[in-house]
Amino acid sequence: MSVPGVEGRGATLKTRLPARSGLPGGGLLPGGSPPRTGWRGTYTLPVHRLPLIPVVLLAGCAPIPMGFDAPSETKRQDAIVAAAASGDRSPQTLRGLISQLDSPDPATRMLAIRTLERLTGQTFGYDYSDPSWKRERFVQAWVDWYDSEYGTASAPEADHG
Amino acid sequence: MDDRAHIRVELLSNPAYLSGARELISSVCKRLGFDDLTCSKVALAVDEALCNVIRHGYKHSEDRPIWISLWPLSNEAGQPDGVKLVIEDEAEQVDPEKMKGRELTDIRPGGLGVHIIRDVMDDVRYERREQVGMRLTMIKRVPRCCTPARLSGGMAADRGG
Repeated sequence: MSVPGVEGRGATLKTRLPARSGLPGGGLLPGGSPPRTGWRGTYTLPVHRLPLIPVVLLAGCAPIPMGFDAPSETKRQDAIVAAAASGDRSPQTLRGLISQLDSPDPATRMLAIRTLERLTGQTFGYDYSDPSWKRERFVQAWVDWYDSEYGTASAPEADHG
Repeated sequence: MDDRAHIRVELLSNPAYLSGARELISSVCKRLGFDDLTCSKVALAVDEALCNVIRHGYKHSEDRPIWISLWPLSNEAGQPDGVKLVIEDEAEQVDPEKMKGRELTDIRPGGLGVHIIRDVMDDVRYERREQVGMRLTMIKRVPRCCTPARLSGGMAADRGG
């Protein structure tokens, strides 16, 4: 007897979505050039940029990292919450949110779809509590919507510094 | 109805065993007449409940006991139409009124596990156990679209090889 999809948070505590392309969040969105690191990989700041850090901080305009590619689930959720609070509908934010629809953590998926719904007014039938085999086509609907709105060519490249 | 649980499992609070618990619950729910999608959602609720016990109740201790009990439910005609799941622990007791989860009009992390459980199950109740620990009772009814005939038919088929 086959066991229906039994994915869950516990089973994925120590796993990551495999990078299906060179895009953030496991490569949900087509197009764009491959990033220099995986979206969920650890980014190491190039040594030659280290002297810039105090300058940027002192200037009071330190770039706020998007956080959608943070290794920590909590940090990724923080990024979603920040997007919801700011109401930012930029392509980069929307792309980051869509990437979270494929998260192994249902709480992250729930936050992501609720934020997307708040920002765009739609869900495309996506349900965070569905198993991955059922979520897949709804995630694709989001990808198709993003492509139609912003085009794959104009999709901003992940900024890793 | 016999009060004894049809299934009662004791496991340690080690995340490594969560996948086994999910697969067990999902497999049994399949036999009780649930469709694959609903089996997955029940397994998700169990996973969230176990994660909550491990994370918040036992503070990530991996050697504390958790009990999972399962009863099939029947309608007035005696046909199987759902499942009751009880998860018990020996963690510090908390006020059940504080285990309500929260409304998601404000998008922020934390407290989402309880919300997810309440979202996917039909009835959820937290209570203190008599001596120590907490008890979570969850009920899921077979969706009307499903024909709950697998319990007798499926088991008969199993006996026949």
